[in-house]
Amino acid sequence: MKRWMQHTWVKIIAVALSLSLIAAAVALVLTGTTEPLRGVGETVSRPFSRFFSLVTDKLRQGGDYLKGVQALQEENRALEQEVAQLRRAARAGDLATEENARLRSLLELQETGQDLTFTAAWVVARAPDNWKGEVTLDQGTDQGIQAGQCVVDEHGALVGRVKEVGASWANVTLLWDPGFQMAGQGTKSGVLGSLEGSLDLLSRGELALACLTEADPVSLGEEVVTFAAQGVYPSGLVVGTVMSLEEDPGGLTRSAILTPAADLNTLSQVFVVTAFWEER
Amino acid sequence: MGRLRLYLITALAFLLEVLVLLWFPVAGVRPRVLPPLVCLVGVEQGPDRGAECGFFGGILCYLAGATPWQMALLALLGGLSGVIFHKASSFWGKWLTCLAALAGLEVLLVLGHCLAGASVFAGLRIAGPELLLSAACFPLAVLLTRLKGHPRRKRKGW
Repeated sequence: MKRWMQHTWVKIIAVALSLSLIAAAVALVLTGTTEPLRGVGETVSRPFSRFFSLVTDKLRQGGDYLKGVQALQEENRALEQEVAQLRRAARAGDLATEENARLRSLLELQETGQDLTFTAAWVVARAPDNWKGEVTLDQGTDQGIQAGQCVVDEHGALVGRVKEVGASWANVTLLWDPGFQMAGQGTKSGVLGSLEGSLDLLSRGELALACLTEADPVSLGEEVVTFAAQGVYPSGLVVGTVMSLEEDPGGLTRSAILTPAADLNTLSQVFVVTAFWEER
Repeated sequence: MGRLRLYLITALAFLLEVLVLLWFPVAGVRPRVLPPLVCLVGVEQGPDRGAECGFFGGILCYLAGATPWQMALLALLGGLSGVIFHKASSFWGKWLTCLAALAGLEVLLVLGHCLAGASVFAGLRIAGPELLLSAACFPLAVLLTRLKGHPRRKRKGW
């Protein structure tokens, strides 16, 4: 045993293991805040990450152009925007809103509404790990970003939440990361559940609306949005669409498997909800 | 291989992985060139250099946002590759030994996530493609270690 310990490579591995344990313990203690070493690393690497993300973005665009899909992508984008607008209009329900307003005025109730403030940010890096779903943005506390804030794409679909933040960068946990968790609600059935990522769903690019009972009337194709009872984050942000229903291992509850509305594989520019006002 | 050259090659592999390869996923999994490089250094240069290369690469990955266990895992990969597979001499022999070492790493990762509550099949669904893609990046790792065109130095006995 003593002879083994004298080898240099054993000492290196022992040091590496000790540092890993210390770093893991620090990460547990400093949840939501920046670990000092990683903060320095992110700050130093951000300009290079931004440059290379622009380059790879351009390369990807160039490749797509050569394949002749550029025009198709633009048309698709336009159609996606139109669909998003139509869905927003449907959700808002102009007629229902007017009727609601009339009834509220009759009952002398206050008006409801929501106002969101966004900060635009570019995705400059992804976590160098296939076992997590995280990205790094090029904006941080200097631009008003804080841990726990929601991040959406250009259509307003939820992308994830800010996990940790530095002065000029922020790490975002994507929807399908095993550590992701939020409350969600079906738009049609009104069912409440827990939006969760998992390792199993990470490989499939999906997430789950968990803790549903057999009696909950969730249907396939139903849209799911965020729900916040105490205003910790904004409600009504589109999360995804129910693709299937699965029984949980215990058999007492079931989960609705969702396909995210945002395309998390090709993120380039996102928007952080830095402030919101809503009244119900 | 001198220490400075080792660190430069490791940093170059890390930059290639983080700034280029991560943006081009294959079947939802991103290729990694650092683990096969660490294996190769361990097999060619011995366990000391392999562990050093893995430790340095793990530090860079941790600073870039990976879990802190990357430091220990990559150092272990480099060290054990040099101890167990030091007899590989041909290109294909080194490729096979790297594949075996990377398979061991993926088994450790799957076990770690199983202990955290994930199912084995969920882990295998990520570990399988990751192993194949890392093995496919082995020629790239060989290219990085041959950058200056100098022939490989004879590995010193350990």
